[in-house]
Amino acid sequence: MMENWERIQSLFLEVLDLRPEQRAPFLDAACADDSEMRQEVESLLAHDSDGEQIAEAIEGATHSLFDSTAIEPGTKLGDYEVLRLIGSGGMGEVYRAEDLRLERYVAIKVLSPFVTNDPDRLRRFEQEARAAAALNHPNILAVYQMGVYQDTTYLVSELLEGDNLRELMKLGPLPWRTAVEYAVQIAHGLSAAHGKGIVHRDLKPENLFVAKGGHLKILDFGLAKLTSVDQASVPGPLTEAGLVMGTVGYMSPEQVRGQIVDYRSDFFAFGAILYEMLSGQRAFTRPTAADTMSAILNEDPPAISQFLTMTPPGLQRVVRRCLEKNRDQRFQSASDLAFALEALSDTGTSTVSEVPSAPRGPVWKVAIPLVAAALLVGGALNRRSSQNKRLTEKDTTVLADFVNTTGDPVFDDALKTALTVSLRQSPFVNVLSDNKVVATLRLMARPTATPLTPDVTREICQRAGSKAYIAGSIAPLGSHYVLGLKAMNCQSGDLLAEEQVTAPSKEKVLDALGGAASKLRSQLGESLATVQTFDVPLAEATTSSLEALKAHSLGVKTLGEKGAADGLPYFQRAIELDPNFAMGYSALGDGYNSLGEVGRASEYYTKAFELRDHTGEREKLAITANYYSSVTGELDKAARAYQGLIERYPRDSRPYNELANVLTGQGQYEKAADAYHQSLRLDPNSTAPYGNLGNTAMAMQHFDEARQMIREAHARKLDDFILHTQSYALAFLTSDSVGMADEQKWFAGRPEENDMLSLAADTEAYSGHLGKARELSRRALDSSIRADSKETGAIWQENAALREAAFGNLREAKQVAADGYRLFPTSQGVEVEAALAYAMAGDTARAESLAQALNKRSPVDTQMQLVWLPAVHAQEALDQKHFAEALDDLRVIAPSVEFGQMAFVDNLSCLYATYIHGEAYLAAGQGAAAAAEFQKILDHGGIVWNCWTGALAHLGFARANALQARTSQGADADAARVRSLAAYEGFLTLWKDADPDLPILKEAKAECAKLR
Amino acid sequence: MLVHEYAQGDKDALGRLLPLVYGELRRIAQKHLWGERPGHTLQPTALVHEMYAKLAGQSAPDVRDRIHFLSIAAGVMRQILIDHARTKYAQKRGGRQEMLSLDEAQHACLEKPAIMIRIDDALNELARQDPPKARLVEMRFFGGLTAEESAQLLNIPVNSVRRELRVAQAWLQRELNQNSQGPKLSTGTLPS
Repeated sequence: MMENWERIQSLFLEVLDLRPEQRAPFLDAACADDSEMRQEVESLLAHDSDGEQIAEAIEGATHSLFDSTAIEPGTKLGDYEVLRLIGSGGMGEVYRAEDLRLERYVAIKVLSPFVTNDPDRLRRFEQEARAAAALNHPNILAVYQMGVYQDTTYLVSELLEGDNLRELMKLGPLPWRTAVEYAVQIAHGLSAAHGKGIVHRDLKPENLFVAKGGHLKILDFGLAKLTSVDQASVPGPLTEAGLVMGTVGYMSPEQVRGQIVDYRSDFFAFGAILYEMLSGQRAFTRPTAADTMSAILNEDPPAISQFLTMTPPGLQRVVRRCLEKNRDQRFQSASDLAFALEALSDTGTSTVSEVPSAPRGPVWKVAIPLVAAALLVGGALNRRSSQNKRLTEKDTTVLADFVNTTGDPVFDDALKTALTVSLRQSPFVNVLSDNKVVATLRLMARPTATPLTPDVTREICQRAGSKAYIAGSIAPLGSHYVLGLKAMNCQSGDLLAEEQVTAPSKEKVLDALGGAASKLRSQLGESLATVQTFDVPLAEATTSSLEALKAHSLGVKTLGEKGAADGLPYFQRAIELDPNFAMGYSALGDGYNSLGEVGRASEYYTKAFELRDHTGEREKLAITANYYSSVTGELDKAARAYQGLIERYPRDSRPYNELANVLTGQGQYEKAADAYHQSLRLDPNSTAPYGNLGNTAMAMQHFDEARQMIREAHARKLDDFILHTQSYALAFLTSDSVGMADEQKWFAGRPEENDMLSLAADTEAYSGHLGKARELSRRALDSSIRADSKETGAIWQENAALREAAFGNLREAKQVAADGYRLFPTSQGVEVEAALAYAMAGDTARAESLAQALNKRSPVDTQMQLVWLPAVHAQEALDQKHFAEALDDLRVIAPSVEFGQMAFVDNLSCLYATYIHGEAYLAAGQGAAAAAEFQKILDHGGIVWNCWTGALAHLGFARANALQARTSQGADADAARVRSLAAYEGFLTLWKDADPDLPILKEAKAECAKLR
Repeated sequence: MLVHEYAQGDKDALGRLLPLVYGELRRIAQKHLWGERPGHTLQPTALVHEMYAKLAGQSAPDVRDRIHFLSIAAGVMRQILIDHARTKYAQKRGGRQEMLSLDEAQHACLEKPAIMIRIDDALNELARQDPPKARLVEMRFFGGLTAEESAQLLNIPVNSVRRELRVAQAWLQRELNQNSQGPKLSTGTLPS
């Protein structure tokens, strides 16, 4: 065949020139007997076509190769649903898509197969995308994620509404102020990028996007580099040059020459763009690419003044300097460039007046209103919007759950917890507490475990009266992670601030998140000073173990949904994973504390305190304050610590509440009430301050005020058993038996029923109905145990033991005290009451043994050292008739702490120490002093409530006055005798239908008869 | 002159040469990527860059002049497209093969890279038998050189270019059809 090939071809071509009917005869003649040749020619003819079918086949195949990236609307790429094609660029096509998880629209750039078919290039692309994602600046398009769908690599970024600069310039040149405004924004974006060593390389009007409102964003950072020569495979000088093909017309001379590109190359493109914005003409434009490049190398564009007469001369200089052929003569930093431009726009207002160009055609008729409007409102709007964009320290913020698209569940809850900690360092950003979130979800009639999607969070934010919500996300980017934080105004839906960071590894995620949170704080308006001061790296502020953080987060979640007992195993796991996890210990402490296991709680609180430097500022202060108030019991230090916390974080209601609790422990009810009011002012919908204010009001004998607080709480639909015990006590104090019965009914069947049973027992005992009281106390105990609250049950028993002792049933007292102590020996409250009960029952040895243990364990505890132990010791001394010693023991009792709400027991206080003090004075024969002590009890019904001390204080007062009557003479003695008789009468009236065989009643009757 | 320097092994010359041939390279790329269909907007820049990278990576060929350079660029373009097709083909064949039903396997997406590969094979076969024709096809269809440029380069009369191409196309078409693993190759069967 080969030897005939020339012949075959010419025959083929000749036949083509013939009409169909001439062909067969021609071939018959030409091929004669060479059938093989004829067959060749005919087969070629059979495959002939007049067109360029091969060319078309190649073209078609090529198209299909590069077309196959086209994605049908409705296709899901991971969590994104592609909606429609919105454009395309050198790197691939751009689609509008919906982020189904975050419920927002995004742009998805599907990369050209050129990029993605080459592993090296793909790797470089990833690096660049990572770098671009790390560029976290308001003037740079935010890249959220990179993913691979089937064989297609895509990049997810924020979706911008607006136009690119190319489109805007189609309307003609921009007013110079607008141009400068845009240019300043470009310069700021470049400055951020250059600061991270990233050069754009392909800056052009198509890559500059002006969103509605004039906010400019630079697109496609890092992408330009992808089109550069594969440096690894190219030897020689070109390697260093790494030439990038910028868009002709915006290329710098060094790019045209194929030299090394650096950040100053971006300034050249910048200059060309600014030139074009101002003049409406391209700086370098020629009919062919080659000529354009030549112009870039050799020519200067005409001065802007030829197009615009009224631009500031400085502006012309800026443009010229950017367009210097030699990059050494250009600006040397983007911030210099921005500064020069800002200076222009600042001074420009006074020295140059804007004269609108003469309308050049119909285009201007459209352009003028648009641009002029932008010009008029631009400045003011920007300033105002930047204010609107900020939070104030009065605003609260709600955190949404993180959207985790990494597929790694460890991030699910851990990151939100970490973010909470990070933001809680800030005195400025007030994160709505979990309790408030749950309460708001209830108002929304949603389950408390509702996932906090951005929508749900926004609604919570609105309902709770918060200003903003923050939505976080984490997405994979190759082996890296991209973390995003967005703060949105929950009313308007406006973006307030946005931060994005990349973490090179899982281990670095917390650091990255902490960094992003700090930047977000700045963006939201926090002062740099506090951002920097309170900026403990997250891994340090929480734990470096993500697993531990996750366990902790699950614990918090479980605790909120199912209660402390279910949450504890998670916290336990967290501290196993990281034994230095301070927050984990703190949470365990809280958990055990709420279960009433105070001893274990103290252990964990102590550990947390020891590790307090491994936390953020707020946690550190809170752990410290909690340590002093709950573990050591040093109320002064606790108060100071809470005050410190308040000074630093004055917008947080909780420290006020805590401080107030400490103050009530010190008996400083007035100050406490102020602090509770502060707490309530910051957070009017929290139940605790109402109950606490009720307590303080009662403690100050302001019963009407107490009732008012309870009513206010109920008016806000807030309810708590504490409010009902208060109502009961108020009814008791005002002899309102109907009110008492109503409150009793409220408790029926509730877990707190044991509280009411115990209160009812106290009421019976108050009137000397010891049998009924015993029965109710027993029911309270059973009910406590049923409610899985042994400690409370033990307290009820010790209360009963004290009562038995006071009534003179010493054997029963010892028995019940021992029973209670056995039931729950590890509770400080049980121990102190048992010690006192033993002492009052005459079992000095047991009392002293407990007292010593308590003294050892709580050597600096304010109430222990200043109230409880002196009372126990004094009672022991009384048992041994060492009256002076008893009084000596009681001397240390500080006036206000004496009335303090007792930290270890549930109700306010029976003023046991005061009662014993009175008894000691009686025993020592000091009637007036004894009367004063019993008077204190009688004067503080709001503290004593229905405790037996309140009843027996009448008897004590009667005895003290009888003593005075005996030890004084004349009118004083007579007056004392009258007071004594009245008090005896009062007591006996109170106990008129008391159980008849109570020893103390018999004594009282005998004494009274004797006095008469 | 730059072309000559490039030919002499001065790789930096390629950088300087680029502005001069950029438009041409772009035109070549454009031809491949801008079909008649409106809305097909994949920019040729990336393809140009790809060509540039490949050119820079090659050992400097003996380039005589601009047109010669362009013919080399055409070869590079062909190489890029075929590499690309092979990658695509391997991807389609590879990862998801077990998931493909017979019907799916005959889907056009799978065919198109295959067509490109078969054209390349056929062109190689043609180059063995008639190297100038294969080069001509490459120059015209992959490189986008005009008939005049091709004529100049091959040192033949311009009107011969058309005739040579006619033969080459018929030959290639026959070659493709003989290798009848797929559908008959004609413009009619190519989904656009």
